[in-house]
Amino acid sequence: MRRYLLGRAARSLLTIFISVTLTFFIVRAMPSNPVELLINPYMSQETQDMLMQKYGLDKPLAVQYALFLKGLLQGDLGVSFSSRQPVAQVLLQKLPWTLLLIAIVMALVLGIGIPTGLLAARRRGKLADQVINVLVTLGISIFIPFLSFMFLYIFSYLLKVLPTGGAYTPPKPHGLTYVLDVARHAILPAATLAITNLANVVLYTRNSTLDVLGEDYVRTARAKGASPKRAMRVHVLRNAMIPTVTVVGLQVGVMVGGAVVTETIFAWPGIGRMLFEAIGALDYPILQGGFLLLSVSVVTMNFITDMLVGWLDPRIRLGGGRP
Amino acid sequence: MSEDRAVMLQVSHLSKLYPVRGARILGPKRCVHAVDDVSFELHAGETLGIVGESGSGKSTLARTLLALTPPTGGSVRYRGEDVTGFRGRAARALRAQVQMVFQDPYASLNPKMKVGEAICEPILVNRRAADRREAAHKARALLALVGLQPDMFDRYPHEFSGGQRQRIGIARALAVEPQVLICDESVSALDVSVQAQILNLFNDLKARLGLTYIFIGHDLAVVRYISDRILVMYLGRVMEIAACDQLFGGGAHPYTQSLVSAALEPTLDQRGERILLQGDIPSPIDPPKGCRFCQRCFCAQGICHDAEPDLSEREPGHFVRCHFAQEVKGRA
Amino acid sequence: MNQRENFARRFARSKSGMLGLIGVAIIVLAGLAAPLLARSPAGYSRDILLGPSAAHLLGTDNLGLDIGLEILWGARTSLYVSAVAVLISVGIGVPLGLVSGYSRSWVGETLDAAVDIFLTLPILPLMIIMAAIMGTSITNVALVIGLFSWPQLAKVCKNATLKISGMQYIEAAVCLGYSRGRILLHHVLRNITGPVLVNITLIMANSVLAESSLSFLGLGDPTAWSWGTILKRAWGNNAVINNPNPWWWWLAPSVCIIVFVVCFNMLGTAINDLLSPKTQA
Repeated sequence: MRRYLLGRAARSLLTIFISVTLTFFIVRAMPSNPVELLINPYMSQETQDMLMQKYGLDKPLAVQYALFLKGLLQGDLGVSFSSRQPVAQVLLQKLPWTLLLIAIVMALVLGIGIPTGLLAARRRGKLADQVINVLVTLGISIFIPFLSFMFLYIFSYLLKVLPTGGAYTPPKPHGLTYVLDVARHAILPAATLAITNLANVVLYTRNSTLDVLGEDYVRTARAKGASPKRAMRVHVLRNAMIPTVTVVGLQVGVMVGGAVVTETIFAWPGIGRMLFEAIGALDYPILQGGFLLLSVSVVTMNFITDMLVGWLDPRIRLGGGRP
Repeated sequence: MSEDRAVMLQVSHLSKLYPVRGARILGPKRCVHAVDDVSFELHAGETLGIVGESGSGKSTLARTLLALTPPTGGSVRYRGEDVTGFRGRAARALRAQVQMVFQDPYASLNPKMKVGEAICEPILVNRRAADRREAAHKARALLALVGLQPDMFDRYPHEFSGGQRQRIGIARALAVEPQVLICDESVSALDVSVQAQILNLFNDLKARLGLTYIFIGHDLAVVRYISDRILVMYLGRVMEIAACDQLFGGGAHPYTQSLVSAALEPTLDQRGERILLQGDIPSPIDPPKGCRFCQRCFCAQGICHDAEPDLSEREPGHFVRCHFAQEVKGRA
Repeated sequence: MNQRENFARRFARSKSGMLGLIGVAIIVLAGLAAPLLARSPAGYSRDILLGPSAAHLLGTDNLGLDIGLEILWGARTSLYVSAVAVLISVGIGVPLGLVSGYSRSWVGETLDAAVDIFLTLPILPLMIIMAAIMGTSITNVALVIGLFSWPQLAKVCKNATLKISGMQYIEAAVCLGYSRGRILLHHVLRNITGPVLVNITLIMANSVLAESSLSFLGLGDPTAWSWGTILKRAWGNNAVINNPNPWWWWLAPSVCIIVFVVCFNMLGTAINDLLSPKTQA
């Protein structure tokens, strides 16, 4: 188990390192060097030189890269072009909102997705399974703006029961009113993001449960007199959960991408909305920092699911071998 | 007996060890001894049978001979030329002379390739024909040679039965025009009646093309039917090499005796007492210190558990790896 | 019976597969024939925010552009982007998958680890950065999407290759003296076309989603007609929550995107079902 976790941890660090390197070279090495945008051609030569020097643009690319890495280790992600605030500070303000949204979505996806997948597997081929299959096909095809617009049209325009955007109604309320207000605002974005991510979890739970149900050891358990419920609980569930958990881990990257669009539409004040605003302002330090933060969150989530898989799978938990 | 004939393949001390995965990083390295110090000679025009239980290393031996997996020790000489662990050009030169017929006729043919295409490809790759037309012509002749209709040229493998597929596999191996054919359990997957047909085809081809065979099998009756000499393997080791009549004439290795007694033979005589082996073949990881067979041998004594016997020549051309090779009298 | 005919016959019997195929065919034909069917929606008119009518089948937007025409021409963009993305992904993903699945050395393992890492990264934000920097042209968007769509295909290709290279006929091919390249192209590739094809339909679907998302976020080409761009303008003008509500403005392009994606996904699922040994038995 320890060897497995060490391996996974090493891979996580490598992933973060690669995303750091990727963004650096995408942002700096492109033909249209974005930092040049910072320098106004109408500035005097001295001001230009000073700015070049300040941002280290006069140094060779390798040195810039080393400086960038050094800065990162110290938590320095540069300064936002538009607001002139340190990027790290901006990110820290936005991060809790995105984490809140993702946490709600995760709870919804697991809480609804796994039971639905199990239901489909148990009633394989019957009406419930077929209905679920159609919904899954629709689910993997859903386009987030479309779903958001439907929700907004129904709940905000026609019924006028839910707010159209933001995370709370200004001025910022206090206490319980605040919590309830945020919850009301979170309903639509969370529902949108949860629905787009449900399909895969349902699909994998269904398929892996079906695979496990076909295994000899399940038939043996039933033959030994275990009730269907007990066989399901003791023999099927744990084994069927292993691929599902792995998929949820891989799904996080996609979910975060969806969060960018969802937050944009619902004006949810998280990292995603911040990225959207940075696109308009061509604020590259913010784009870069935002992506890095999202990568780190995704990698962390992946590491957690790896630990879960390790705990679920005795081959990993007890032996050193690979699954 | 066959000393006068040219040596086609000379195998000396050939070994294939697989390191065991998942062992602790520090500490002694453990290995699966799949093929362990195997030596023998293959003479031109003979059929050498190799028998052993599953897990005895027969198939690994065949793969190592053809360098489908690289050996970890020892050498293979083809007509005196060292071809051990060859790669690239040298490997192709050898594989143009030594070919293999595989065990599973269903898995050994590419399902997306028409029969004719599958036979033409080796002809063209090994430059046995100048162009596609000549290759197609040769392929049709090969189909006829192995007893198939030439109009099967344009069909897919899934349209054929197991026996027919095995004939296709043989035609494909022959397309390279080899001198030596290694048959790795080539009839084991077939029905008994079809087995006999394919065995007869092998004998027929041998007579017509002057081939030399290595015939690997686990069924002693089948191997005996086709072989001139037989090599018995156990846990990666050669236990006995003998001509067919020597082997069945009694007085062989205790392991061979148990195999012989297990093989069904139509006979009018009263059958001897059957030797039933106890237990399974031991793990090839860290094999027993003494004789590999000691744990299951019916006449094992103290020395068998402590020291491994050498392969000694009991009578001309008859090698046995047993401490009591001279004494053991056939019980079978 | 030929295997291919057999496949076609079974495909024709799969309802969702045929539905998907017909849908895909209609979209492709409409996209290809757009210049013949209708003029491009150039020029603004005074018919602002009109509902669907005989003159404007899908209504008009706040600039007086005909939404039906915009959608028809937008299909071309979607097809172009997804075709480029597929070409790039196949060009990168298939060779990588073949090599990492067939090679038993460190090369294979390294490639495999690299693919895994790319699979976990949040791709949409990465695309956003890249598209923002490369500048908004439809070819750039297509390139960016293609450059980040290959990991999935590489993974699928690798797993299929791994399965095939364990087959006895591959060992036989080595034994018959074929070169590595011949084995990969002639024997392995031929036997993994199924999973690769399925994944290509998924890439088609996903790249349309990605293109629409990027356009919606303002990274699309302002001069090209695109479903995502229509949505962006609709949303920018509060079309969803304004009263009276120009529902056709945001509904029509959304439905087009969903239909496109669903058709490709149904096609892929149908092929996948036909290929899986469980249904064949």
